[in-house]
Amino acid sequence: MPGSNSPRDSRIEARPGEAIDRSSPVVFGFDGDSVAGFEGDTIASALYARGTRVFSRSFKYHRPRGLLCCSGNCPNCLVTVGDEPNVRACVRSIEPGLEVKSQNAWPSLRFDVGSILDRMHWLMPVGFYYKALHRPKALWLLARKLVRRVGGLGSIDINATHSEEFSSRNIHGDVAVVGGGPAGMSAAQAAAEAGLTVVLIDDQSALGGHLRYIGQVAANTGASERPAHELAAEMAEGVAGNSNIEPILGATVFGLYQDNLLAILTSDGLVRLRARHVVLATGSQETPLLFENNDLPGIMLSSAARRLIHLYGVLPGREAVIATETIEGYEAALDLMEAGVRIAAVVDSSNSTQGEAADAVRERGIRVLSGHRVVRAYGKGKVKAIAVASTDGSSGITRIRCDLLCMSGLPQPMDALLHQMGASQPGVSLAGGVAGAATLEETLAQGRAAGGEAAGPSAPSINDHSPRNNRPALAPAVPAGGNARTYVCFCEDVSAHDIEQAIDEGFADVQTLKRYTTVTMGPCQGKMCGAALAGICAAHAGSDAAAAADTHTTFRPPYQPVPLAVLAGRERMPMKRTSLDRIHRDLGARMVESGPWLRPHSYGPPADECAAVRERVGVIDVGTLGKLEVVGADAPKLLDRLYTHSFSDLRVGRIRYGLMTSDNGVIMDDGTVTRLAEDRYFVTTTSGNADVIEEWFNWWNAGAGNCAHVVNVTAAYGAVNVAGPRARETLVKLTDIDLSPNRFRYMGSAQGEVAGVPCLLLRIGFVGEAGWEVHFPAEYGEYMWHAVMDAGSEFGISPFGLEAQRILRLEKGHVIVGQDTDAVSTPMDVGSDWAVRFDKEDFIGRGGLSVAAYRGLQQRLVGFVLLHAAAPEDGTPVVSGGQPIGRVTSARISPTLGVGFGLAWVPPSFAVEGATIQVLLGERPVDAKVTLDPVYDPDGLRLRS
Amino acid sequence: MASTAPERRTAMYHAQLDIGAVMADADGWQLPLHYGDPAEEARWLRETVGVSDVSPIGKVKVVGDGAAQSVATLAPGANEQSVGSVLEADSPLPRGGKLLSACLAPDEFLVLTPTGEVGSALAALPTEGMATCAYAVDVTSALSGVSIIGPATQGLLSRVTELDSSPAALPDLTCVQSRFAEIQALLLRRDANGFPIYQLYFGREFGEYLWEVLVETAHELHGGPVGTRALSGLRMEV
Repeated sequence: MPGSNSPRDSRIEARPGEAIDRSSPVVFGFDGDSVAGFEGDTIASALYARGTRVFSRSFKYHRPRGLLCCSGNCPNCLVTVGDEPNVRACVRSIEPGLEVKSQNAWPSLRFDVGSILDRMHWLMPVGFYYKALHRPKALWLLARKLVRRVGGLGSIDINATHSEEFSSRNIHGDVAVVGGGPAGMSAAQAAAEAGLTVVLIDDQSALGGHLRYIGQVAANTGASERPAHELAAEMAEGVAGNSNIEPILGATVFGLYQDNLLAILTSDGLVRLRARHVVLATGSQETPLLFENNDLPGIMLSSAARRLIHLYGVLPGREAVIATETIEGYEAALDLMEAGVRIAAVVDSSNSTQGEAADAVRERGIRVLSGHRVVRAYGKGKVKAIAVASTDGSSGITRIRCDLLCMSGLPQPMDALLHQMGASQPGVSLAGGVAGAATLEETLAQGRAAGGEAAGPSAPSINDHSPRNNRPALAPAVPAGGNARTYVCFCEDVSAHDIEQAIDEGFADVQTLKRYTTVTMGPCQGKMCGAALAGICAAHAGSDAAAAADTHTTFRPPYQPVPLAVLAGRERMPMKRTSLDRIHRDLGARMVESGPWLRPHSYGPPADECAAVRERVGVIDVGTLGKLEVVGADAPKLLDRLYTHSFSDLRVGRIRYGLMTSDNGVIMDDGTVTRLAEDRYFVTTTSGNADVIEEWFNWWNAGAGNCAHVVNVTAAYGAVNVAGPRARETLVKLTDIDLSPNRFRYMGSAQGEVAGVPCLLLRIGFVGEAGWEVHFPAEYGEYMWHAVMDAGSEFGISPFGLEAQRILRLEKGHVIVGQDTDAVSTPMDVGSDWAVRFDKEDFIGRGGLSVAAYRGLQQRLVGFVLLHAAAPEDGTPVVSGGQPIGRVTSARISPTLGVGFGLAWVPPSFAVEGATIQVLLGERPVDAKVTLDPVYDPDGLRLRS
Repeated sequence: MASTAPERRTAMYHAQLDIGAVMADADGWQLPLHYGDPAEEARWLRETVGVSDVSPIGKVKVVGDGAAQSVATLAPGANEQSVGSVLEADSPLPRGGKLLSACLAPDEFLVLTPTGEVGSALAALPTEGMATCAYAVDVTSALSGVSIIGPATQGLLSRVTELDSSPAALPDLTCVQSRFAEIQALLLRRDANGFPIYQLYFGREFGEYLWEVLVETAHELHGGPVGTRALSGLRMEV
């Protein structure tokens, strides 16, 4: 069967401590082939076991790329799993039936047409899109489309909805330990033993860090040599047995923010962790070496090869060369040899590497080329040989055959999270490789110390534990004369030659180099290339290694790419709903968002709803009105201060219109104020403003020494406005309250039962008809609605929605704050100077209004009427002589007049009854007459009837 | 006049019907007796997490410099409460039972009464003629309430709020105001014989939304909505 394999292909004998379960085969798909692996395998390990060496094609030149880090840090094994692009194959576990596809290759990974770009690389020098293809201009329009088409990795299924798959949760702990290696585990144990709660996060599927894949460890705090995985398992068991420690595995901390907030990407979503103390035990990482064709498949970090062997039982190659700058390379050589890999040579850039491992390598007769480095790799699709040369140029090129090159460059601290925080921050400790620990003993000791510090009275600052304070500065060796095939950035195909060219063009520091070349901007976020970039910069600047090690681009979250769906999480868009919401929907109302509320726009033709109100009786849900109870002996004083009107002289049971201005006199809100008792008022606000006005009230009340308090009761009361010539007849059937015109007059209120429910009735009318706002405990909402509708059925009662209300109020010339007013509108501008009492004590906005009154009107809101049945859109300019002089704020076709009408801002000179203005209907200016009175019932006779 | 008796519905009423609630009258309120399987609901309460509508609980907000003194007439000791504390007291109101006094600020208390006792509480709270300022407002209808009960309660809360609601941060008889699934709410903890019970109070206008979020989250944790029958069983157990 094409592409199929036995789960035992390329596998070595089972090893203790391996991550796979060889008794549980798992079959998944890769590019249409069926691939067998074992439970515990990653996609990459299973593919490597069956002989796959090319895992992806590079971003720009479509060069074949193989496994490099095997730890989720590099871009070389990005694949698409299902409809999820850019999955790191080396850390995603296989599952039965998983469908995996390669990326950035067509028609296949093996034969990719795009690889022609690799031969044309001279056409695309660094930053070519800034300087080529721009002339003639039309060329760039074409080129841009092409660049966009070929750019990017993977494809997003725009129809896929992943938001429901990801949850988010918030956790808290005394200590957060990032990194589950020996340093992290010992820190977690030390903190937990001190009685602290610890959250231990690691990006691998099991605790242990590098102990899981390094074979033997030497002295464990003085103990004899033993298998590293045993120590890892022993420590992990200790963690698991400690109820104070919560491990989160397979999770990446991608952001460390102020006050020790950690953002963690897990397999099922986002975790936000807040901890009093953070221990960073993120370790260190080998960095790739720089030489020609250093990206060929078969060239990987030595830690990657050791992971394949020890975790997945996969032989990384048959014949290997180890290129190293440290003793770790010798240890890797011994490890690979023990697993059955023939070591062709150890190429050591140093002449002075000392240690047991180096001695052992020499004792075993392995060829060691000290003072040498790799200068080139040969092969097509995978490495077949390498060329080495002495670092001092004293010897010629030596060619060595191999199918595996393991790189063991200088370890770099994985300290991106530390740098994300920027300035020093208390409550953060470092331990292990990230703090420069060189031995296991030192690592464990630092872990214990960091855990102990967390329990201490005062946490240390990160400055006390900077990696730079604990280890010598290290920077990778950078060969002079970068080659076009010597890759620094594997994500974006940026070579050493590209960087040197950019430096020659004047981009001399890492920050500008980053932006110009895009180096460090790819999926690895600088993990693979940051050190090399710094080294090249420093070399060109003539700086020493210490300067290079301290040079880096700015670290910002996220540390790893994070799917947008994870950040978005579940769709949670809370909207406020009244107690009548279900009734509206059951009636087929078209619901619209109105500020924070969902409200019925209409139940049918708005014109019919208007007619019902004008001719019979209509009912509208006004439960959205903001409602505040202002209580206390000083409540009148507070309201006098907050409103332009006066309320201390309002009689109990009466209602007064209230206009509120900001301290510069601009209209903030309006509503009604009802005096329920000497020390109790019922205040309504516009629908969207209740919370803002509540805050405003409390802001001005705080510290004033008033016995006055504000309680937001918006949600406590449902409310309907029953309006129309037959509204009284409708309500009379439901209440014993005397609703006769002489007893229950306009702007009056009463408390009593309606349909057996305790209610507050307000005789007010926004729509211009006799009507009552009936406020009732919200839990009775549906009952009340049905009671009113039943009572009004014989009078032809009809529900009406927001649109009808807006038309009806417009006929009365009532202003909607925010719709008809703007950020400079004063009460005088809208003709409400009658609501401003300059003769009372100081009030909010008095100063601004005094200035406005002195300055005189700059603009005026007026009504206008067109000559025919068409309405301009809201916001349409008002013009005169072809020049804009104002704007329409609201306009509709009046059911009463049968013509278009509305409100508009005009210069004061046009604010004259009968003046002619022009408004735009589409592109056409049409005449309109200014009116200062309402177009409907200008004397308010119907309203007061 | 209307011929049928007024029926009181919580903000979650329809959302509960949508998921199969069997309603029953409780002091004039329509509350879910169960959602189809009371035994399963009882199991959720003991083993995972259950959420239950407790909106009908009486709620009175008492504000003013004399608020503590006023509340102390109903719940002795309230005048010594610190902000964030909850005081449990035998109710002196006609139906007896327990009262809870939650101190939200030095001059702001929320008094929780047994269902139907708000009128009595308002009448009993001295606000007139006091030396210092104190006023009481019935906010029963303004606030929806949900009880969250069960061993997975912390897991549920961690999915809807950034607040640290661990037992150490929020011990028995404490309360805190924060955001829950984007909504401002009051979380109150009052254990029953050592069994942790949390109550979440929030604006009624968000009732349906937050109920659905809590039920969905409870389901993720293998719990769900529970009716009054399962709650009664739990009360007898604890």
